[in-house]
Parts: sequence; C-alpha cells; structure tokens
Amino acid sequence: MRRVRRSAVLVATAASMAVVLAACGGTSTSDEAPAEAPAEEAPAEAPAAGGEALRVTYIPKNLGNPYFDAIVKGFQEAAPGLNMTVEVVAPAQAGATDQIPFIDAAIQQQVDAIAISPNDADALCPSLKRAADAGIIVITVNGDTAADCRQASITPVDFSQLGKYLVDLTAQVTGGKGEWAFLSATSTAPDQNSWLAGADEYIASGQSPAGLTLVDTVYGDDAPDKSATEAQALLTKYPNLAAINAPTTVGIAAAAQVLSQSPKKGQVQVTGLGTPNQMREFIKDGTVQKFALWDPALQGTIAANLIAGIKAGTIAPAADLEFEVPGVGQRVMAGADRVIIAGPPQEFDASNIDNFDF
Amino acid sequence: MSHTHAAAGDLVEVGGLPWRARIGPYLPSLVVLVAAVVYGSVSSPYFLNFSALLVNTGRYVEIGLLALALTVVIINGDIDLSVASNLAVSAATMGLLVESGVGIEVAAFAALAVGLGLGAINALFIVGLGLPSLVVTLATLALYRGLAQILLGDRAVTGYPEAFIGVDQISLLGDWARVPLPLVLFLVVALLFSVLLTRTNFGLACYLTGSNQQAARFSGIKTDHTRAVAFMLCGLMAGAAAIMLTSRLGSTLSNVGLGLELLAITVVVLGGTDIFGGRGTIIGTVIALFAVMAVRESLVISNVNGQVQDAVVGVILILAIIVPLTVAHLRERSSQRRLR
Repeated sequence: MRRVRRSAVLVATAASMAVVLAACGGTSTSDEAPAEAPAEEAPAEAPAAGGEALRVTYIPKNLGNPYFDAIVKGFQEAAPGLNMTVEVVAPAQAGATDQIPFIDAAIQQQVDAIAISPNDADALCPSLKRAADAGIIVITVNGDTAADCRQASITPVDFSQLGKYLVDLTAQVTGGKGEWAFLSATSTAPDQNSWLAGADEYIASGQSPAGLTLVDTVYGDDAPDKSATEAQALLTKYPNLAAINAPTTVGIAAAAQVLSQSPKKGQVQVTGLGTPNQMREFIKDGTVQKFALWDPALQGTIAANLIAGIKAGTIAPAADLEFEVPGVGQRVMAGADRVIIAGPPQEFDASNIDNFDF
Repeated sequence: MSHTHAAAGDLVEVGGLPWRARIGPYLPSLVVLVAAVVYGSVSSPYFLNFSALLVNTGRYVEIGLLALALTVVIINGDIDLSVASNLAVSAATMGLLVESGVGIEVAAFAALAVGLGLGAINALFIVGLGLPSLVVTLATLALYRGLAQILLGDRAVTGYPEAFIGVDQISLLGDWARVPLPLVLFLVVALLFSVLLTRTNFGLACYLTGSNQQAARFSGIKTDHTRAVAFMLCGLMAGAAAIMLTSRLGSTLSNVGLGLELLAITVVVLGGTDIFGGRGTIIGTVIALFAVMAVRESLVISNVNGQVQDAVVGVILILAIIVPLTVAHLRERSSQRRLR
C-alpha cells in the first residue's frame, strides 16, 4: 500500500513535469526571438520603424518611490526615439538580495540591457556578472556596485563638489553675508559627513564668500520631530542667524515647517537639499527662496542613451571616454571606474518648481 | 483536530483508500505547481526554459533546507521562527572567521556548529524550561538577528576565496542536463529527512508527539528528547543554508536571509504538514518548494512587481489551508448523512 500511495504521488509529479516538457517543445526558448511577444510586453509607445526594438529592464531599489519614478520617466521619455522598450520591475523590500530574482529573470528573458539601482554593492555582483556573460549590457544608475560588475555607472551629481556647492547656495540666498548653520542627518551618515567636510575645507581655503560665518552644525537624525526641535533651537540660540542649510530631505522640510510658523520667517532663510514635492508649499508661501537637489530624470535619459550607444557600438565604455548625449550634452566616464556624473545640482525656486514632480 | 495517521503517509497501513485520499495531502501544492507552470507559460514566452528554471532552483535550496527541518519541528507540534536569524548569525560567524584568516573549510564547519548551537539554545528554553516554542523563537528571531547586526554592523564581508563563491553555478552532468549542485544536495538531504521520519523510531516519535504529546509521553515516548533534536536539526540546517547562501552571494551582510522563515513555513504548510502537528511528509514539503518556486518564477518572469508577488504567495497559503479543510468538512458531513 505504501508503495502504491507513493507511486500515485510520483505519477502526479511526473504528469506536471510532462506538462512542463511538452510545453517546452511547443514554445520557442532558443536564441531566435519568440514569434509573438505577449501583449503586456509591448511598449506603450510604438517603437520607431526599422529593426527590432532594444529590450531594457530597469530595476529600481523599490517601487512607489517618486524619486525612482522620476528616473523611470527619464528612461521612458528617451526610449521611443532610441527604438527601445523599457520594462520596470522591483522587489517589495530593499534588502540586499531582493533584486537577484529580477536580474535572473531578465537574463532568462534575454533582454539587451539591465539598468539597476543596486540595493547592495556586493551581493548582486555574481548575478550581474552572469548577465554580462550572457551578453547583456549592465549599467548601474543612482548607486553603484564594484566596478567590474557593470560596464558603467551613472551618479546623479558630483558628490565631491557638493560641500562647496552647499556653501555657495547659502551665499545665494543670504546675499553672501551673515551667520548660518548646518542641520544635518545623523552624525555618522558617511555621505552627509563627506559633504560637511567638503564645506569646511572650502571655508578653510579662504575662497568661500567672506561675509558668511558657519556658526554651528546640528543633527536631526533624519527624524522630522528631532529635526524640527534642532531647527527651533538654532533660531533661539543665534538671534542673528541668516540661514539654515539642511542637506537632507527630512531636515530641510522640518526646518521649513518650523520657519513657516515663526516670526522669523523671511528674516532667516532655509535652504539645502530637498525634493520639489515636499518643498512646494514652502516655496509658494515664501518661507523658502531656493533649494537644490539633482534631477533624477536626467539619469534615466542618460542611461537610455548610454545603453543605445553601447548596443550600437558607438560607445565603448572605457576610462575617461567622452560621449555625446543628444539633448543633454557631453558627458565623460570618469576614471578607471567609468562613473558618469549626470549633471550639476538642480536648483528649485518659484520660477521652476512646478516643472518637477518627485 | 482529528489525527488519522493515514495522511501522515507511512505510519499506518491503510488499505482500499481511494486515490484521492492518497494524494490528498499533496493536492494543494500540486494544483499550485501546475497552475503556476500554466500561468508562467501563458504569460511569458521565456518561462518554459527548462535549463534556466533548473539553474534558478539554486536560489530556493536555502529555503528548502530550512523547510525540511521545519517539517520535523512542525510535525512535533512546535514552530521555529528563528531559523533565518540563526542563518544570519551562522553566516556572520563564517564571514568574520574568513576575514581573520581562518580557512574556508574551518569557517564553514563553524557555521554549522553555530547553527546547531543556536538551535540547542532554542531547545533549552522550549523543552528544558517548558516555554511555548512560538514565544521563544519569536524572541530568538529578534535576538539572533540583533546578534548578527552586532557582529557585522553595517558592513559587508567580502573576502571569500574565489573557489568558494558560486556553488549555485556548479552543475552536474555537464551540458546534458545542467543540474545545479545545490539542488542535488537538497534532494539528498530531503531523502535523509524522509528516511528519518518514515523509517526510524525518531520519526515515529515525532508523529506521536505531535498528535498528542501527553499520550505519547505516557506511552514511553521521549517527547522532550524528540522535540529538542528537531530544534537542533533546524539549527544545523540554518548553518547549512548559511554556507550555501554565502557561496551564492560571495558576501555577507547582517540582514542576509531576512524574512526567509516565512517562506520556509509557507512551503511546509502548503506541503500538507498540519500546522497543529502530528501530520506531514517530506515529499509534500519538496513538492511545495517547487510549487512556491514556480509561483515566484512565473510572476517575476512576467514582470510582476515584488509587492504583488508577496500578496499572491499570501493568498495561496490561505487557500492551501482553507480549501482542504473545507473539503474535508463537507466530506465528513456527507458521509455522516449517509450513515444516518
């Protein structure tokens, strides 16, 4: 009996396997492109005539994030002109290994290129190298892996110059004179600290606007309540404060919120790095004159053009290679790591903020 | 819960059962498997690529190893939620040892030992102190994960020797059939577990313990011993999965394997193991692993996003529990009516 029962299970398993194999025979899985692409793979915009469309998979860190949606928008706006279809897939969590199944699926789908905003610098490497072995172009966007795991990387802005830029931005909104303070994230955040160090260097060099005095650096831990408390404390502690510069999206929104309800509104400027959607109301009500970030969509535009160029053979990724991005301009793959800086910081004020949605 | 051991597979000789009753426990996972394969082949021309599917099984073997040991724990009437956190500590230990210059073989052995040790700690609290396994392993789920974070912090260990990286890329039988090594290892371990459950006194003790712990104890079954061994097996498998995962990724982070316990438990329950204990089979777990894999792979190849995938797996798990219960309930009612 025992044997009978087990064989029944085996038969059932075998039957399902037979379904797999039978279907295998009937479906094209070879290198020739499948005769019919399923409807959902068809691009929203019909590809330009002539030649088969380039198939690109873009894997952001996660979905429903306006920042990455903006990168996708840049991709999709550039795609039709490049005869390219872009499929966007992402995991539910931003764990180190969560993007691996999506890379493997892209390999299985024999796409032409994978663009990825990696959740981890190391764990994705074996999968990305396998994609490269399968002849797939691999680039990273807004984040990077080890340089030998991708052909090139696109970074939103030149982070090494950001500290200097933040000082100059403060000078712009204060007219170049007065006391100002940094409201940073956590005291251990590596990127924030490198920007603050860059600002200190610039000030120490004596080339920064002479009228500005950096009086304090406080940390809001990227928590809205703590950031608001710290901003409030700055207003009390420094009666002559001219500006608070918060190079963190949480900090700048919290500081703007505090200032918008403070009698010092208009007297103290808030600036730094923020997203247009978070800061729109403060620009409109006059609390904030100008702030900055970068334009994520630009990374998508450059990525699409880069992929098309590599595929067409007009761009062969190499150290310090210069190439032209139509409608954007000249870009360079800096250094042996082939990192492309998408552009200068994007400044937002009342005149342009409604052009951005992220 | 009525625990007829017919469903346990090999405990009781049952004659004249209709075929439906024989494959009954496996039916939910088989249905899911076939449905996922059909969905995958209809929705994407790239799904039915047998060698690619075979290679992708490498990613599920870690879940499979955890699920095998969890099958035993759940048959005992217990649960172990800490397996994935245990995996992280085992992996972290291995990473730190390799970093400090210890050979990879020794480090891998240490991962197994740490896994086993953490399983033994679970057993100590649950069996030794008589605390509920749900609460204890919920606590060690957090405790072990925290330990991994303390050991590694935010950094990644990457200094693994080249020869160690990529066990999932090693395939047997060459080009004829690219069967990945992890899959073979998994099937061998599954066979061992199956023998353990169906051919040994330990296995019998598991089913009896899970059916009615008190009755089993009064009949002379060493229920404490049985349950403790199951938790230690779970720990050992967490250590083994840690080695596989580290080899596949070539790096270790403290959040490695986050959430794997939920997938592993899903596999066990979908495979027909009674979450209240006393019933379950290894072959059911193996089929369910392939079913869950088919679901995941068919969704990802059809460009379905992560959130939707998670939701689908959740719905399948609920259906896998509800539908057989409802069918059994209806059948019982109709047979009662017939008797009257």
